[in-house]
Amino acid sequence: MTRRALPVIAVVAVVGLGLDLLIGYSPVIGYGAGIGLFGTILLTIVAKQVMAPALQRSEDYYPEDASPEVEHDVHGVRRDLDDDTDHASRSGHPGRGEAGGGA
Amino acid sequence: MSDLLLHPAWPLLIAAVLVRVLPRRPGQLLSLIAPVLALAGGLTLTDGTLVTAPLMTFELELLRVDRLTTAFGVVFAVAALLSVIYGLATQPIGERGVALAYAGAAMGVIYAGDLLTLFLFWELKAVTSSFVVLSRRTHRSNRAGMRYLFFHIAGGKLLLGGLIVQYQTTGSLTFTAFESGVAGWLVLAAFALSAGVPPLHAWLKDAYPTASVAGTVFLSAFTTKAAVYALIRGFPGSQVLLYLGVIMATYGVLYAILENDIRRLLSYHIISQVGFMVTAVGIGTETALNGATAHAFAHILYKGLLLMGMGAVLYATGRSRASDLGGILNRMRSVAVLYMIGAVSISSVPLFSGFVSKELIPYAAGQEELAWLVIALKVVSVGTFLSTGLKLPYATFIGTRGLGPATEDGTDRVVVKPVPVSMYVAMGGAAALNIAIGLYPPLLYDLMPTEITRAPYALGPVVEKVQLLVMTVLGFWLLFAMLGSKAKINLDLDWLYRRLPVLISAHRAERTLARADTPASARTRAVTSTRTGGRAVLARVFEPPEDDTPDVVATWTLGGVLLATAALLLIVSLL
Repeated sequence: MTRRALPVIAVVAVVGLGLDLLIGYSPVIGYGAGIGLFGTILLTIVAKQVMAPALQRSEDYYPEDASPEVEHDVHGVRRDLDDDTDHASRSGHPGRGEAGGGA
Repeated sequence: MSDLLLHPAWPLLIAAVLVRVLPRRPGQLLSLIAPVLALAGGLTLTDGTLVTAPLMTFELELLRVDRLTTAFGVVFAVAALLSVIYGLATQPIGERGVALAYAGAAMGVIYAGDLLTLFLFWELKAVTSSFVVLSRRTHRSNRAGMRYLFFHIAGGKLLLGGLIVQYQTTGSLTFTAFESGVAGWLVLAAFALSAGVPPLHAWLKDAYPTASVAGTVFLSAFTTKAAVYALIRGFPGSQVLLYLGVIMATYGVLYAILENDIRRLLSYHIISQVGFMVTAVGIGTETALNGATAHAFAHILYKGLLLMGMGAVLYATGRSRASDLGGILNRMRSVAVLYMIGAVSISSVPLFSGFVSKELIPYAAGQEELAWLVIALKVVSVGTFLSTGLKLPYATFIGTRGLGPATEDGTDRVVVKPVPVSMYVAMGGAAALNIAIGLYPPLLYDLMPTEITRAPYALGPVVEKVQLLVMTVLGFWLLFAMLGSKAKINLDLDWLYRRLPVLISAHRAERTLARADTPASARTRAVTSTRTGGRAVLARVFEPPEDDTPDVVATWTLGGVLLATAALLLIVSLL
């Protein structure tokens, strides 16, 4: 995201706070803005600083999940997808199908 | 009895069989007509319709119609139609057949008036949805599909146990709200498993991203939403659901912020959003149940659209990890725009469907003066926008950290294939519905179980929501570096059955041999040899060779599933 968005955010925030003051809907002025900003910070910190160090592992942690970089069974040559005959030969071979069959 | 002919499940179940035997084009046409007929049936059947049939000593309620069933029936038919269109160019006949059967079974769950009919369709749904996962026929989907099957067969046994206890206790099998007791807890566990309530959720994030692109769209629509329907019917106002729902919503969104796989991220979001619905069921007021139904209805449309968008990216690029993507916006503009319609809808941006549906749930919590719940749900909403509306589309389409520069100068490392027209048609249909509901809420509200009097577009809620969304954008900008996608996987509770047994067995073998009184060199050889042998056996169970017999019939996996199922049956019988 570029810095060009910042003035837009600032304008919308000021207008939003002004309207908040006028209509008196929120329990406190800037209630929605506060939840938006602090919610983002809270969730990001919990996810990235607390959970990530404990839970993240390399991509080959489960060998079966370490699929090839490009999933060939969805990428490449189109095949006649209403023909099931080639499916039996694809069983058990990750990423070896022809194309288009799904992700 | 003639009403039974209008049962929306029949066209889908019949088409599921016929598409296997008809030639290609007529089969495709039939698979499009079947959801339309189901939709027509759902709209034709009137509130209060009840069709019963005797079976031994039971009086089965094969078809029961009220406003709740109609709401779910209509959206299931629409979802089936959009999913079929989406998969027209990519889905093999076999997969399309089981997907239609799955949609029909889910429809049967919705219209079942008694627990026995519900159980039969529930089991059919479990088996057919497993085959949707298995239909991709890769090593990964086969393994995940078998785990999915085990979970859902286990859930079915819990439901069967609850059904039997309920009959013994009350002498009735009519599907109404449960009283607390053994039957209620067993059935609640079955429904919670199918809804993906933690700690019974790991099957969802495990299996959904491994299915085909069209298969995942089908899966996202039916299993968890049928469970939400069942919870609304069976456990309105259950306090435990209120707390489980909040945990679920938060859990899903935190994992979504961490996740790198584009479809697994959206799978975690299903858990999070279903958490909103489960919370609403726990609140249990009319407004809350309307909110759960409205959110389920709209969620099927916008989550389907999001998965269609990311499925299109995967189809076009062959890449499923956000860290491998980026810089493809100028070659997938239409997909990006359609995806963003889904993203702003799920994020409750005013004028889109989420704002008129999901926002009913915090509103209902506010009516009950549950301030902590309102704040918790709004914070989770922030996470929804952050991950599906900002992080994921940025990493996928724009980000420069990926391998795909945004130019067509021949230096591209990400090849972007054309996306079939049918995918665009399905995404366009879903996007149009999300916008239509957002612009004209009565389209949705008129289908809800009870009348909705709340005016969604009052100035106050709109201003508050805009503030929240804008500040989330600011937070994203401030924390941009921290939110980047990393090429990592995230451990979840599936670790307990995918990794822990291997670690325990290896550790035991090591300890046993360490205690043995053998000379050092011989002991080292023995340990090494036993470790190698033990790991080979465990690898056969947990990670069989890729060129081995197809996993669907692999004796170890299937045997494990059958053994565990038999153990569950025994427990249920003892109960």
